[in-house]
Amino acid sequence: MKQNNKAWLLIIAAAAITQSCSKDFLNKTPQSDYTTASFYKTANDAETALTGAYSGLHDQYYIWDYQINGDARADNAYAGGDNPDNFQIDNFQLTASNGNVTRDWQGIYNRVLAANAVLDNIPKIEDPVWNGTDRKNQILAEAKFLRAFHYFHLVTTWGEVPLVLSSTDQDIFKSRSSVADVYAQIEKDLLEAETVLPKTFDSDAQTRGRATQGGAEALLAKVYAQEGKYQECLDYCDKVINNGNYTLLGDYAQLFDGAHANNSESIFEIQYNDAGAGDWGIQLLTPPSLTGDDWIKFNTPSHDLLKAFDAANDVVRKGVSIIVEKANPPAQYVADPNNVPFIGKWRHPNGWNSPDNVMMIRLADIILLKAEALNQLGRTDEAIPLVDQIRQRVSLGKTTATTQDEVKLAILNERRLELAFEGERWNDLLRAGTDYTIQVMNSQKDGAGNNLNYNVTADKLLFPIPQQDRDLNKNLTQNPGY
Amino acid sequence: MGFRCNGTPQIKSETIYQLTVSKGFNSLITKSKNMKKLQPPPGRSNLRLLFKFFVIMKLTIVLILLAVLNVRAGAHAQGSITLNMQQVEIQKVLNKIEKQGEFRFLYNYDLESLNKKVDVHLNQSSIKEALDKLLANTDLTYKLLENNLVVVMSNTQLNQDTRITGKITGANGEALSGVSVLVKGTSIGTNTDNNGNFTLTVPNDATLVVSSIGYESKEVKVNGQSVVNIQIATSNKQLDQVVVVGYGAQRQKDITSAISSVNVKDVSTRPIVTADEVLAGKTPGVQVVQPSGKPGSPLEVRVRGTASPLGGQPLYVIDGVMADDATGIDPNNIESISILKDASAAGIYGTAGGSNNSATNGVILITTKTGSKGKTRVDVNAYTGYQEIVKTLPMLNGQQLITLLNEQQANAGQPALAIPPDLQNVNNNWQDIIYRRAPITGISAGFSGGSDKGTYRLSLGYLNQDGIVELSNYVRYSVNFNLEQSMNKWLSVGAHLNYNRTNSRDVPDNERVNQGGVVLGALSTPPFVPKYNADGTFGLNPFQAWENPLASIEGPYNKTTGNSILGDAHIQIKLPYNLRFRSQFGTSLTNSNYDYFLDPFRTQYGRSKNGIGQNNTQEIFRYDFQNTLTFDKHFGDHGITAVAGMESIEQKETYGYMYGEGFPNANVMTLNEATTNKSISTTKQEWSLVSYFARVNYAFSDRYLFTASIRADGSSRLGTDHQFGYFPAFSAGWRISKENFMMNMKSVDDLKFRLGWGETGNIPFIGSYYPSTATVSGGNNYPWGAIFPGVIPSSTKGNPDLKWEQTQQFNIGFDLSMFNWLRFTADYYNKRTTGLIYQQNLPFSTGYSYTLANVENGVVQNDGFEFNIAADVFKGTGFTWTTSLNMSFNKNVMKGLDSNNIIYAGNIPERDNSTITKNGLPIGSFWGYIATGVDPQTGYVKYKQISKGGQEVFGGELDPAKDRTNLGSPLPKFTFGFINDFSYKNFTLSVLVDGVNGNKVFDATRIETEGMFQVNNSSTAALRRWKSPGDVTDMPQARFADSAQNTLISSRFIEDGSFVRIKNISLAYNWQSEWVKSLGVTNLRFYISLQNIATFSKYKGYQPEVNRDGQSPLSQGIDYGTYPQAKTVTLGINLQL
Repeated sequence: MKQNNKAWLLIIAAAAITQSCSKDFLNKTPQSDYTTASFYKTANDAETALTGAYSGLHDQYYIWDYQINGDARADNAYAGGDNPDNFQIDNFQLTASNGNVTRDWQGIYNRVLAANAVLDNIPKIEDPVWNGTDRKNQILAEAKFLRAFHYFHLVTTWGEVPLVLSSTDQDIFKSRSSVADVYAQIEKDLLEAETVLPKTFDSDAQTRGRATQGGAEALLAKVYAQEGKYQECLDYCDKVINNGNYTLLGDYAQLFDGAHANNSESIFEIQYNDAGAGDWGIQLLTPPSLTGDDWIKFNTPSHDLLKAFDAANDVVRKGVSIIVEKANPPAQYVADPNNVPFIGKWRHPNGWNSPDNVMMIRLADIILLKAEALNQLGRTDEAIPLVDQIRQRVSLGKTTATTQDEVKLAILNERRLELAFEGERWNDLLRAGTDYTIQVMNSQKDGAGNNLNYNVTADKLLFPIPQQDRDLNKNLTQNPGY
Repeated sequence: MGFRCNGTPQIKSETIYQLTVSKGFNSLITKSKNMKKLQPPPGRSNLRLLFKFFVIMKLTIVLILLAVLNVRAGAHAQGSITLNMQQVEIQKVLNKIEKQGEFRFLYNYDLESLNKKVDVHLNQSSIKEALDKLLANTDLTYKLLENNLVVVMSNTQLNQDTRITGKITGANGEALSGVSVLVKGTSIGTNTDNNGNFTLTVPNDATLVVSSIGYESKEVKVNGQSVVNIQIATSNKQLDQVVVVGYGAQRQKDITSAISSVNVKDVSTRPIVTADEVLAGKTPGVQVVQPSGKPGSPLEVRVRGTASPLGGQPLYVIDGVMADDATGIDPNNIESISILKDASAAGIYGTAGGSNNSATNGVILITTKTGSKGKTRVDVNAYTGYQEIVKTLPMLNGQQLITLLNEQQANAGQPALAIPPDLQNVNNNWQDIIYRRAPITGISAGFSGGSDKGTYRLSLGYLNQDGIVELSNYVRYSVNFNLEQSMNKWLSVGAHLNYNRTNSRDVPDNERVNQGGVVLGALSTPPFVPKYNADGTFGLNPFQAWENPLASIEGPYNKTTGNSILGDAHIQIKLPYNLRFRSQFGTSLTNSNYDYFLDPFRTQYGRSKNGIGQNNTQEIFRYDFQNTLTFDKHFGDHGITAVAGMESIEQKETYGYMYGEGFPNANVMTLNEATTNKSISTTKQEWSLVSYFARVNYAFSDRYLFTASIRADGSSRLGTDHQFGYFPAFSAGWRISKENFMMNMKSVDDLKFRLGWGETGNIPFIGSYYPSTATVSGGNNYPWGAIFPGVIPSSTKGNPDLKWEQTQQFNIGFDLSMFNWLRFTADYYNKRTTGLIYQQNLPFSTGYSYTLANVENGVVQNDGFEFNIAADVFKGTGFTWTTSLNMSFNKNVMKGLDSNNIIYAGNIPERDNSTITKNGLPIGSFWGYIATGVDPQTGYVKYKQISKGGQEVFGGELDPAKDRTNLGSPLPKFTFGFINDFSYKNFTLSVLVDGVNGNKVFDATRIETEGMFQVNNSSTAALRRWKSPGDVTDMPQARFADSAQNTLISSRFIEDGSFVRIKNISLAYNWQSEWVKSLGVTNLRFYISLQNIATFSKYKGYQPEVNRDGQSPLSQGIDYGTYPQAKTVTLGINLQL
């Protein structure tokens, strides 16, 4: 049976080939992804993870949604553009399935996860590179700052939110924590970070782009203010102001001319460049003369804001903040196509790839916040010079406000003009009070003087919890009014 | 196999017996040592010899021979016998006749009856008459052989066993191995060896039953011969047809599970572009959905419903090689398709499958054509024709539109709009502009042949299909080569190779015009928008700055070239003990190269970026190594076929992506000219599968049939502790028609009951082959001056506990064939998928998007009933008509899920998800509000507020959590196919009608065309809109920005998707003439084919068969500006040389 010997030989060979590849054959690990188990090993990995956490600042929310929520929802801007979701926000007709609401919630929590991943995984890393340095703790502190920053935006936008503090949290279907608990966690993170974070880093870009001691303190001041804890706010404003690292720029225009990135006034600034990390949002805001396209623009300045600038005779800041030009198609509520106002604070859209940094916290904000705290604490006299300090830079005379109430409004207005389109207005209004906010918003008029009928009620001051997440997590309750 | 053996006319069995036997008889005589020449009268030695001979001969055989030869005897009757004798011994009478010189007799002298005395009165009698009279009332009988030789023998001789040998050959005389040779009614049997020879000891009166897969079985009486050579014909009867099953083939009549074999003949008379199209409407339990009309777009095939929410498609096995789809082969090369529908059939494939394919969704087995022995052949199929949109939708003209727009603005407190003066004369019908009459041409040529040693077939194909939307196009070049060669008696080798190259140009659909969607663009772009501006840029909607759809067609250049190689090399070794070993190494390699370029000047977006270039490449390589050992033995009433094997599959994928902006002009589209924002990426991933499997088929007496199989599959895609899954299957069949009590029922040709149960497994593919592994994603960079690399946790949360999803399927059915013209098959099945692998969407607050998890109590249940009736209604000589009707009823429902296992899908931009997959509903049910009509006072759409007792409210008051509800399922209640084939003389006509019933379609296109909330065109339905209080209509107020929320996802846009469609009509003429023959053409046929020629439906959009999301089970039946299907008219020719 010679033929069969050969045949069997072939079969045995085939079987052997099959067998030889069976043991490790099923052992496949990702080739284009780092696995959690194998990634976090060195100091360099820790820095990379931290950078990933910072990259969250390029999320759509921080690109432009926070401005819509802070300015278009408030009296500074109209939704503009052609997106019904934005109209809903502007017009206080939000539903729980609004696309922006959903993506903001999702985007911010995704960034919380990135910060949590740093806090979960870096403590285990031991690397001799860190010997004799405090870098490992600094990394953790930076992550805590970022987490606090995100939660600050969450709590002011939605009120009670789930408090997720670990990337491996087994409790997937978390309930919402009380506003107080969320603030407590924010304070805890920031207080822990403050003591560890350095005042400066190796470069300006890092010092203004990373969490610093001053950054943590400034954020704490803003957090305390929003909580109504004005004494703590005052303390932390002072810490920032006395930090020695920050001074007001002499020329307001320089803040936004794109040539003074990471300047001395900047406390926390989102970094962009046009070599792969550009800001696409500016293209959506800025006028055709800068973008070269005909798209209908978003977040268009409101008549009320224009009036406020004009009433204050604030030529400098109006000129920086707003560009008025001919446009087709026109913006919302603007009858005259030759004089259409657009946002002008960032002027280098650069084809959806703006290199202009965006300041999230700057000294002028903190100075005015200090004024607000002093005024709220009854120290109105001490508050007034701070307001004047800000006005002086833009060639405006001293404020005429004297009483506590007058000064309160003066500070609010000053913040409005100083920080227009920087996403601060809505929180400023809320601090001024629910009733005040409702009154301001319900009195908004279009260019022809017709009331815009926002019909704001107290329930409308918070966003709804996104329906999509409530569908997934039955433990999530909805805010009243939605 | 099923072709008629034209060269071999059907031989009447009688004739064969006669020839065979006489040959045997003569050879027997010739072989006898002592008899050089048969010589009457007999001498002593001759007598001994004769005696010996008669011992060998068996009486029954003689009797049969007599019966057979009765007819023949007449032929010898010319010789007349006249004889008158009284009381003379028979032997003497015989001598007397012999002396007349015409006949010679052979007989045994010891036969006592020969001495019986008889009276003989013969007058001009034939030999037959003479012998009949002579031998009447004796135990003697006779037979007439050639040369007027007459054998006289006793009919009381005892049967005795004899050893016979023989050779079984096929139609062309080729030796057939492995053929079962059984003695009828006994357990005696054997199989032929490699040379087709067999040896068997049988009773002399035995009848041999010869059977082999693919051949008509044949019964042959031994008749005492010692050498029985039998030729068997290839079967063209359905019951004898061979059906390819996993790792082997079976005769249809032996099948015990739900397997459909599909008639693929119509490929030659229809412009069929992909193999899946062949299946449409043909067979029960298989629904083929064409999601869009885009040329080259993949079809969706549902076998017995949707078994898994993340589902996927059936497993394809092409010439034994597993594949993700059948796009790699030119349908002209398909020889057969069979579909394993139930788990008892598909179980042998266990879980095997590709990225998104699994046996759980059925297995589609395709074999490609091979050459056949003998003559070389050339087959050509060429067609050309055109495609057209089925219908266009009625839209408003410019004046109607501007009236509407101003009303829409006014209702929202916005200033009136005026068409700019320069556009007032523009009146474009955008549908006419983007849709065209698109040509389609296909040519295929096959060259085949073979010898005893081997066969080959080479085929070349070309297809050029333009899409009905301008510029869309699909071109395919294909080569198919199959080779089978036997090297020696025990070794044969072979190979299949399919190569394809495709070029396609895409146009974007399924999007709004501002996102580049061409179809929505054609519908919603106002007529007063110009095609082009003077500077060559595309016209803009003056009120919205949206470009017209030509910008999406001509602005971007979307081109994909692809290469696909699918094939295998195999060896087959014949071993002793009826064993056969087969080793096959298959590969599937596809690569594609996608180029995108956006003109830097002509489009808005292009200008803002100074042009965009993008290039995507991908390569997917898979090998599939199989080794199987097959055992095949029949003994007595028992038949066993067993196969055992192992298989390993590994797939490696590589993806590349390059992007850049800033092009100086549009003359160079490659990325070397990009100057800004360049980015690149390459990624790789892989998976592997190791499997061990075995199957046994056992048949007893052709009546009781059993099949059992088991497969163990290990996948790299699961966590270390859960890699292996074990998938058993059993089935049984009872051919009741073979039972004695059924034998008398002449009307029943065949009746078989089938019962089966089996399990299959599945791991759905969701973006990653590593669902068990927690990963971090790079590329999340951040600039501190320079850009620094960053990572964040991946949005998918790894789940190390992930296990196989398992599907159990129970099947009961029967096959009935009656009157030789009616065939009926019916099956009931229950298919339950448990341990569902879910893309468990995680709450956003976790930061993750989803994880893959088994929902332990989760079940997808598909219950169904399906049947097929086929009849040869008319079988005349000139006219034939065959018809078949198949229907499939399937009910899909999800069970055992809790509120956390809800999957939303089918997102509509700026709206919401439109489908839900949750407990108690069919997969992917539509989910939204119930619109109850338009409020006559306000003109707002009213909705049912389910949470508050169903009162009617406006959109703003609805709670998305509580007021949305089930709006119906996109899955049909039943589907059917109705096929009629007529032939009259040289004409053949085929009509294929198919349809679905009871499914819903979400016509989201109407959100855009009837929404009346943005500055775009509307359909003429908008003319019915509410205008002032008191208007009673179904069409709400026009209102910019839709603050009244008239266009929520609601029943307003849900439509009945039922349809009846004339899928195809093909008329062919077979031109038979001497002139044609003189050209060397053996077959010449012309045909005209009308595809998709009429659809009867209430659907308001282009065509109810539509799926924006393609193959995803979670969101079926959504029409959102989806590329419409075309109707096609082609003329073609089939030529055979």
